[in-house]
Amino acid sequence: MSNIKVKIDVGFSETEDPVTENDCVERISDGSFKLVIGHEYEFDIDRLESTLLHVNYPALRTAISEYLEQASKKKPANN
Amino acid sequence: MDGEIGRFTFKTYDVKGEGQKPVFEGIQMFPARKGRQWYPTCGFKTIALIYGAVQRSYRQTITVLNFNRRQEVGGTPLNTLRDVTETEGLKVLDFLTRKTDSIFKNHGFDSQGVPEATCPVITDIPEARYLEPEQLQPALNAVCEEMIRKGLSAEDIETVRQTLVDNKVYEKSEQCVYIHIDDVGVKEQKPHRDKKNPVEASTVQPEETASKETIVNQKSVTKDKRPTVQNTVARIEQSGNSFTFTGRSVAEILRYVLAFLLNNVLLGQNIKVCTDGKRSLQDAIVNFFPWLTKLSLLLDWFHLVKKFKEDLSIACKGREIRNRHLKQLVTLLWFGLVDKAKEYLTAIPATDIKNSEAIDRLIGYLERNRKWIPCYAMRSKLKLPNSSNPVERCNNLVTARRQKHHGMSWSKNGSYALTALNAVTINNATVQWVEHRTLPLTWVAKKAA
Repeated sequence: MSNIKVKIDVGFSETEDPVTENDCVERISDGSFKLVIGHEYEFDIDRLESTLLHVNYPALRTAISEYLEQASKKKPANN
Repeated sequence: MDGEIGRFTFKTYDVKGEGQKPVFEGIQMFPARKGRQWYPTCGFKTIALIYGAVQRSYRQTITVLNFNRRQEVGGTPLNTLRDVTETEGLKVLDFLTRKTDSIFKNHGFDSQGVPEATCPVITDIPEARYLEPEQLQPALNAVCEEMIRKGLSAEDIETVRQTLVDNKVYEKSEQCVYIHIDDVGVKEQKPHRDKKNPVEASTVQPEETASKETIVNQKSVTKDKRPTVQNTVARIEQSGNSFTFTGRSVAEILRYVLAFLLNNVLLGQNIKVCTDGKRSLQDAIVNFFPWLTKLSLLLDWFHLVKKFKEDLSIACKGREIRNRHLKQLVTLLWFGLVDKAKEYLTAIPATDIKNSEAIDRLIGYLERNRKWIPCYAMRSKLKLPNSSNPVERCNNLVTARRQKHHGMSWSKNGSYALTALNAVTINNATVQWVEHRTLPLTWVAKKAA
């Protein structure tokens, strides 16, 4: 039986994408989550912190939800 | 599921065989849930219950929790938090009941805590051990000096000296288990709101005086009839170690206490139960432990003085007279001179008394508690406890702080549950309970300052 790896990749990077409206976290094709904020917040520690947490929680919930969903599908093969 | 990271759902897969008959249901892999029941994770229980609802209001807790999880919309509803808290708290009490039953069974007691004929524990209890006369001597001399300073007669001093020498009642504190038991009541929630009163209150009364009287009468009636939810709290202490129990009744608490004593092999020690003089509580304790001769009660000094303050206020004409008599009586009782105190009460001049019934009550109170009134001065000199203060403090920590003086009223289960969860925290058993669903009935060491 395989072990379970927990992987997280968190980071900030510059982008040409437009600012996300209403702070709605978006899911992108590779399964990751993103939220784009304006360049005026480049040095705004408070805004950076709150944005990070804002993206973090939906990502965590989705990750565990999808994992459990897949786990329930896998089980008969292991029996 | 409802977790530290938020409240969300996920799908599970079923495998269907011939005729669409399921051969495997994915949901079987997870803890069983009924209907729309959510699974609260250990993280959720720790944050939302132990460090949340137990400490502050449900509304404050849920607001902070959902904000922190970035789920102000779609987060945990307030009613769900309340229901989960109640269920969890009652599970603590159920666990203690089951554990108690199991301990009783293993030690030869029946489910009510009565030792069976073949109970081995009872036959092995050693004799009670007390301080030897030579160990008492320095304290005895100090007590006599104090009595001289306070102007007591030579006869009184001799009475106290003789009583202390004759009666071996001063325990060695390191070989004694102190049990403090008390009740704490909180306002009980009404099943339904009373819709009549606001209408009556808003009705304009033609006569101002009549209106005032009505309000006063309504208040007094409400106050008298206001039902309360009684939580019973027991604090067990020995040499810096302690354990706190909470329960729904005195009988339940006494069963838990006995289970703790059995589980930690403490029946060989002296056992001192400190109470506030409430008759039903004292009777319940004495009736529960008739086979334990080493158990004795101690009437808390603070409550003894309080009782005298209150009843002398009713009995005496004016504050100055009351204070004069109170001072004399408190001095006599501090040295355990119950008979002298009774004589003093009987001899109070009729001109000082407005209500002789209160005096009779005090005489009856002294007679009833005679066995449990020691020489408090002697105990104080020997650095032995004279008070049930530890349980009063516990009452505040487990119940009063959260449930009293906030204009709130409580359902029975809601109050018991919050109190039980608070006790889990006080006993440093949060992790054991939340993660392993167990509570070790063993001493909790005092935290280093």
